[in-house]
Amino acid sequence: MTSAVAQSAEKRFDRPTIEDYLFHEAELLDSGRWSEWFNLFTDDAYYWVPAHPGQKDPYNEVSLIYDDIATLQVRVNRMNHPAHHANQPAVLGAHHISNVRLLSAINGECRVASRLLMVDRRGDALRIFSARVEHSLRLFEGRIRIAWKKVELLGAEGPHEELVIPF
Amino acid sequence: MGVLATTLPSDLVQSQRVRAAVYTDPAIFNLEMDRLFGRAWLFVAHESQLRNPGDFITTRLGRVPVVATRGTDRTIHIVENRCGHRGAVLCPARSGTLAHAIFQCSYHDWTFHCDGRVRSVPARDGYDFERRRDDFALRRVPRVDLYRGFIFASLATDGPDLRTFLGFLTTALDDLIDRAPDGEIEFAGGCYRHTTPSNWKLQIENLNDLSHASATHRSSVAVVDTVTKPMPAPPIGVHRAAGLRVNGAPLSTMDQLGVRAFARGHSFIGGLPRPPRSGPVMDEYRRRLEKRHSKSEVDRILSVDRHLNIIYPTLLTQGMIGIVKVLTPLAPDRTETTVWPVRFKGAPDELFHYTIRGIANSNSVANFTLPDDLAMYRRCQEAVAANPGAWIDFSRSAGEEVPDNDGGFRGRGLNEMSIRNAYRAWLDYMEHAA
Repeated sequence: MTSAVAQSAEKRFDRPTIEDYLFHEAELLDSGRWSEWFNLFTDDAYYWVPAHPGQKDPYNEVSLIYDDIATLQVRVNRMNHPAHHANQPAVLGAHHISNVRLLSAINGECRVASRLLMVDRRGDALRIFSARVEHSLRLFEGRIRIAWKKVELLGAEGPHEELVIPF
Repeated sequence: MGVLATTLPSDLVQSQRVRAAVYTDPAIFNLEMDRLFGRAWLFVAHESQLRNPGDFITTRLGRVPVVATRGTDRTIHIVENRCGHRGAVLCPARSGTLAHAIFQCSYHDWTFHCDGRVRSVPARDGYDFERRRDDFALRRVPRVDLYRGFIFASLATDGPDLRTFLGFLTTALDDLIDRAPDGEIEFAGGCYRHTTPSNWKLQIENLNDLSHASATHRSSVAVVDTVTKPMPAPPIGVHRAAGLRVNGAPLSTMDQLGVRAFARGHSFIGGLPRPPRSGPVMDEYRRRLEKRHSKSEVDRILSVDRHLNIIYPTLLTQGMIGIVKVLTPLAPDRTETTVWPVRFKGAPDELFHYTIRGIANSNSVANFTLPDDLAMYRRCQEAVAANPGAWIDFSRSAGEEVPDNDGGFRGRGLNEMSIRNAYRAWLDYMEHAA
């Protein structure tokens, strides 16, 4: 990426733009637009939900989720499948984003920290999840895309019941 | 406690079916805690989790909270996790290290040795302490024994020893340990913990059951073919898509896999039809195993092909991939499950990465297999709760199993003999007062 492009990218990464982007992502997840959510990710992206606080490594320690783009596609394509039993009846989610902070912006890529409060409704029960989320966002073909997303759940170590809606 | 606390209702368990009450009745659950979990050898921890003096793990044996430690003499001790003074929990954490290998109760500062003996009491002059010292000791679990690093305990003073209890299923643990080129395994990489509002026996029955996979896991099999993004080839020659497709094997294929069942409720099922592992990493792994064993012994070790072993009632193992799973019943309708990846010490790192990826596929509540099973447990529990008298059937291929050469029985993959076998053991424990 040329430095001129990088500079214009970094200008794009101001907080209002980033917040709008995270709110848009939340809207896609809350309205079940799984394919559109999937299309936010770059082809080399990963989506990581560690299973332990402070976990450094997805290869030598278990994670609740560690998806590359192909596995993420399995995930989103399964959401609409009628035999996704844990999603029958469909689990509904509401993602609340706050505490958005731009951590760095360099070479056309920025890192953003936020807090997530997700409420899901499964059967008759509401559950609440809280997480610190970090996104790496990249300007690609004029659009902001997700290069990676890491979700550090409060109580990541469980015990958990089924988790259906992506964070 | 009700009448059922001492006697089991007649007509509850037949050889090929059980009443739904076995999953729902609190009195039956209490009796299970006394007679089954109060008697069987239960897995507590692996030695690698208690590496140094003072390291501890807390868990439950039946309904009894216990803490396992390694003492300063390097011996493994298991005591009830309850202060000998006023009964507060001594170790509230799941695991950790005791300073100086001494328990210190946070309530009144009483201290205890790892083996349970009282070490110090802050205001002992108010007691006839020396005479009563043993009254205040932590309760030791009556029997503790190890099999090649696997620590087991029994709440019963008498009964078969651990080797006798395990019987042919020592091979389930051997199948994990023998795969380590250094001759040792370790529990590494953390663990998964999930919880389900359902009875523990539903998990035993599901894990014994080859006929559910193609139905319960249909969606994860179906979506594999919708993936357009490239899946990177893994280093040991088994394509990731194969791991997702395996549950979609037709019932006729599942029926070809053997099922084996043994005394005391133990069982295992044969390996699922997966492509063979190969490539440079597997070659290197084999070379490392051959430094320890003869070529023919390495052939034998790598040819053991079991999908899953059940050491009844709580321990489940998968040797080839390296997974240990433990059920902890908390209530008739609540079970906690812990799943550990196993590292074969001395094996190439890539093999452990494969274990981490495999255990994620099969045992994360957020991935593609386990949530569907948990949904089924939930549905079974909900429905049977309404009618405790309903019959639950597991009669498929009854009587077609034949004796094997190892003191057990063998049958075809879809034979529900392992479930019948588990209930035979269940009844044997439950009908006899401790």
